[in-house]
Amino acid sequence: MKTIRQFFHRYGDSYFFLSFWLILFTLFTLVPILMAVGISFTNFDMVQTPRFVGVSNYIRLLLDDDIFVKALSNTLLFALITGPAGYLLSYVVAWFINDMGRWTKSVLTFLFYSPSLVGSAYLMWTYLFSNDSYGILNSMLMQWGLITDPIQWLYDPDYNFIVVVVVVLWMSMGAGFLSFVAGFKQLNASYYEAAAIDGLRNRWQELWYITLPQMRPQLLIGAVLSISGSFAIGAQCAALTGFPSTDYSTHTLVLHIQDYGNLRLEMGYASAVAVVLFVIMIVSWVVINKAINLVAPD
Amino acid sequence: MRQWKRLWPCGLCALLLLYSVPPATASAEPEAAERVIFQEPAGTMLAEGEEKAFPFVLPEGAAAYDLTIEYEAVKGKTITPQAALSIGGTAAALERQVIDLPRIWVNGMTGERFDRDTLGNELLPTQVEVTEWQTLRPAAGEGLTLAPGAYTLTLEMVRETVKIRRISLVPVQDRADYAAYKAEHDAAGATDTRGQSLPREAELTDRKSHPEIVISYDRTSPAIHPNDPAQVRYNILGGSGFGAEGQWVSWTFEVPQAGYYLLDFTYRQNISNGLAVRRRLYLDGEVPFAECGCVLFPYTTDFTGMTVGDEEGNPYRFYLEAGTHEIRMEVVLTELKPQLEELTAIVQALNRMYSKIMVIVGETPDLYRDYDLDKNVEGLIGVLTDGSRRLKALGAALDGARGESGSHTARLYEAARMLDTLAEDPRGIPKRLDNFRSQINTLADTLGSMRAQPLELDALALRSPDEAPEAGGVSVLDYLAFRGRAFLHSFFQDYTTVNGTADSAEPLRVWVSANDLAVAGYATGRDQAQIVSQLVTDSFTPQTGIPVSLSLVNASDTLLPAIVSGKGPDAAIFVPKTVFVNLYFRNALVDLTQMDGFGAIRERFYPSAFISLSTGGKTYALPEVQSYNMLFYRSDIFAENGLTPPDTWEAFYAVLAKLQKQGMQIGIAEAPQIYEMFLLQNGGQLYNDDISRTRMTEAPSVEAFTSWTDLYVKYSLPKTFDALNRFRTGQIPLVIANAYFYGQVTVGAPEIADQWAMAPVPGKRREDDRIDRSESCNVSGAIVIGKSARHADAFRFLDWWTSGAIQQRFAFESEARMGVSARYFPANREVLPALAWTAQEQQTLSAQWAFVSDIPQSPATYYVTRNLSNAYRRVVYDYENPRDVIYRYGRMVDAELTRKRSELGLEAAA
Repeated sequence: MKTIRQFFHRYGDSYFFLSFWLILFTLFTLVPILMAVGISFTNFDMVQTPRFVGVSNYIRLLLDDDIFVKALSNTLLFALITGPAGYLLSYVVAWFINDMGRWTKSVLTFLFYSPSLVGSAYLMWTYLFSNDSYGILNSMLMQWGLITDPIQWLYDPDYNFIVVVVVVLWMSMGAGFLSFVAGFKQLNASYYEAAAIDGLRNRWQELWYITLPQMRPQLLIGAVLSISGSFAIGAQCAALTGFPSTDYSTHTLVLHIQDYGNLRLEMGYASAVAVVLFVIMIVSWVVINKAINLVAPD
Repeated sequence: MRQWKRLWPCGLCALLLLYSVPPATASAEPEAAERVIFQEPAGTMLAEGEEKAFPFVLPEGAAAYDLTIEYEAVKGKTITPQAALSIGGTAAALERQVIDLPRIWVNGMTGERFDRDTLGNELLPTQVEVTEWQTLRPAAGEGLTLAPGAYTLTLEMVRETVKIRRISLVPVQDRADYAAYKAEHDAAGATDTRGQSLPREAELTDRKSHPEIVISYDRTSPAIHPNDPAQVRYNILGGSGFGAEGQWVSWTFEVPQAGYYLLDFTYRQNISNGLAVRRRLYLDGEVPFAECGCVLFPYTTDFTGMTVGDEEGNPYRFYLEAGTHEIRMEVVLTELKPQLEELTAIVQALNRMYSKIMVIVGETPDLYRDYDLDKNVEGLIGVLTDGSRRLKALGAALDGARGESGSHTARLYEAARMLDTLAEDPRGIPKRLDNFRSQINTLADTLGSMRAQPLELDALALRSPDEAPEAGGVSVLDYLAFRGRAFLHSFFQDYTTVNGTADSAEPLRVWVSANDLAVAGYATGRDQAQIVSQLVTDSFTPQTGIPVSLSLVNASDTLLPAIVSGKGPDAAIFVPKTVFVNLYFRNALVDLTQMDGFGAIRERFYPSAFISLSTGGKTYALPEVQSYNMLFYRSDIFAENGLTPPDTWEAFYAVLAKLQKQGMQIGIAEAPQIYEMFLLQNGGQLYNDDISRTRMTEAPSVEAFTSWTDLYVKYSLPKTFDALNRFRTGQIPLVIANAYFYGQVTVGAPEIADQWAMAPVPGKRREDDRIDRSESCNVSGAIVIGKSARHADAFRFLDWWTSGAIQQRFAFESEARMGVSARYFPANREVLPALAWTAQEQQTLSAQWAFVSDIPQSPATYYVTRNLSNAYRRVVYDYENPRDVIYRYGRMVDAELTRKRSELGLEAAA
């Protein structure tokens, strides 16, 4: 009894302030994740009572679902292309912007950030990549005599993956980019002076030895955001290329979950896919954390 | 119990009394030189499709006349009667023109303002038709100059039926101008009235000519009155629907004191950019003086007050006796008429030239080849230079016209410059063909926007010259307070409930699904839900004693989760078939065949409407909307090329070849319905009898799939296109699309109004020479939820809702309030004849409807749709062999179907 009172006396305030976040996190993050794990072992179809089916969802997922494999490979491709590319792009752009004047910097930051600020701004790309022969890109290519028939940019599996990659890259200047911009601002200028005296030869060295190690927290948060972002690609694909896309050419794990959850009403199976996605994200986070440690050790 | 019947004693009778003397008394007492062409006091009936010729002789010297027609519409549909008018004889005096013979519509309301729902929101008033004799001076027959001789006036009813009592030619007299009007009344001792102010809300019209002149609400500013931050108050009359020549609205004023009055309007015209719109004002059926023949309402971005007056801003004084007076406002184009005709002629000439060039260079011309167009196309340079000259002259004429700001003329000059370039360098034409086409389209658009005279009105008032005009606008503080309240209310407002009830009895909970147009062929939203709500209050609850609460929800997203969590409704209507198929395979719906009286209810519909609503001998929904594909074609282009709409696929391919030779195309969008049409016409079925396997790999299906993909591979139809736009420009003069395309063209392309028509889809000729036009359809259904405890009540609601009388009223109200774009496609067979189709259109639809069949639903329907589309794209994009492709995808669907059936506990496929 005494120890409990002592404990509350000492830590009560801290736990009180912590409790708001803790309750919300438990209710809206932890519980759903655990529920998804639980449901993934049943055949829940939203209407009838769920029945326990063991690991059969996982067996089907890993051994008998070609489309899951396609979605997985698309997701990894997206993550490999748009994740690092978007990350690098954000960093490089933030670096360039950092050397501009104050006003130019603000304006440019806003310009680069705005695509991800405006929710479904990517829909404007449907005009550029319209399948119609009067679409912007098609009509230009036809005018120049490069093609005679309109290309079905959004529906043809030969093209639509690239279209989505372009659009996702355009949108990649998100919160990670902002944290880079902020990170550049808080760099300690005296290090640069000291390094210059010590014989720093060029800006690349400056970037590698001074800037990057100082920006470790921003790099980490940027990486986390970029990974979770590229694993969560789905809405853009569906809006641009249709849901599901032709022969699942831009199908991702998120869309696979939607397909089974919303369309086919197989919640158990959809949960199994979600669990797999969750595991993949955790693994990749660990890998990234290690990589960041190499670039910018503690 | 039609609602307006209840209103009859109060509002309407009073109105009828007011109008028992026709407002246009002028024609009742013929003037000296009026030429009566036809007269018959009881009137003669002119039925739809009927043509009557009225011969007449003009003996004396040439004179200018205005044509007047006294008529009465025959009560019935929402559609505005139309007639084709022409005068021929000694010289062709008037070419065939389609004119409106409008009905008279009165708002159905019980009080001073529009009726309200239980939450206090105003409702769109039902439109009540009043039939009485009225005099029309069609714009087409204005100022006709006729030489002496024998003529024949021909009237052919294109739509609907009217009675004609009198047709006459009134000599055009120079109407007295304002100065003379004022002098005359001054001489009679008229003086300014004092201290009178008679304001009137514009939306409270007494009568109007077209249901398309809608009222709407704007709650962005308290300056627009009446207004309420939380509730709907209809406070604006008109908009883009109030801008077609011949439309009119009228208001009555009770004037207490004789003398001069000024006339104020509070209006907004921000639709037609930078231009003034034109209106003619009538006072008690007469244009009081010449200046009222065409009053300009200049462009304004916000609601603005205007006192009717001359160009210097001196207001006109209207003389009114004490008593009741009617002010009528009509859309006119009088001053612009010659310019409009000239521009139409230019556009037509250029269009013809464009097609001639297309014949030679084809759709994708070789830019590096010299086609010798100036030699190969007859009159090319002449048409181009002539067009340019005429456009410049027209621009100069328009620059001088009242109310023009130059935005039109800039486009004309731009087009003229382009024509000059083409004429100077005919070798460069293939390169500039796209630009040429788009300039022609721009000119056609200009034509449309010159014709449109949209206007929104908030209020009008008669006032004494010594009174200050009603102060328009509000202070910034008031404005902010209003917006602040609106924002606060948005937290408490219930946007889903359409019809609450104060009744103590537990109401039956019914959900109205909000659907897009494409989902079932009929869009549903708040307005439709309110109509349902009014019908319930008027008819269902009084008849059965069952109170109903209605909510507007999106069934695709919410119905299933709601049912799972036990918060679902008792019944739902307008549910798209893709949604409830998921429910009935999971036993969430009530089998309606078990309910009392189902056998009789079934007879209301074609069996085809039930195909996708039933499975295994059980039926889970009653159909409401049933829509299907029709063929739409440009009759003008077809006539020009000597084509007729194709009846069979052989004819279809022949038409296609001819059109493609002219650089035109046929538009069929990628949709599984086209495959289903070929499949059904081949006598095939998608599934076997117990829906355990597909028949996609069987011969009829393979053949159907090949025919479908051949359209794009062999016949190179465009894969993606904007149907409305290209149909309108004539690049795609034939479209096979869902019947709702009718409303889209009617509303979206009014300039081609009588140049297109609808026909049944092409079919396959059978051995007995019968043409099989089978195709699938799109339906929405009304369902009873299994978890509900009130199956009997809910089924009673469904019975009532799908009955002929209620569906007819729903369809009527829907179109009367929202116009043609809200045309209903009923599943109930009694309803179609009551809709606003012409007899011809109705016949066409019925002919197609009889052939409509459908594809049953399976637990793997979603998989069929997506794999058909994948298979189609495999063939059309990658030119794979259709036979192989349909086999491959067919087997995938079969696998999914088997899996899904075992998951749902249906026995696995044998």
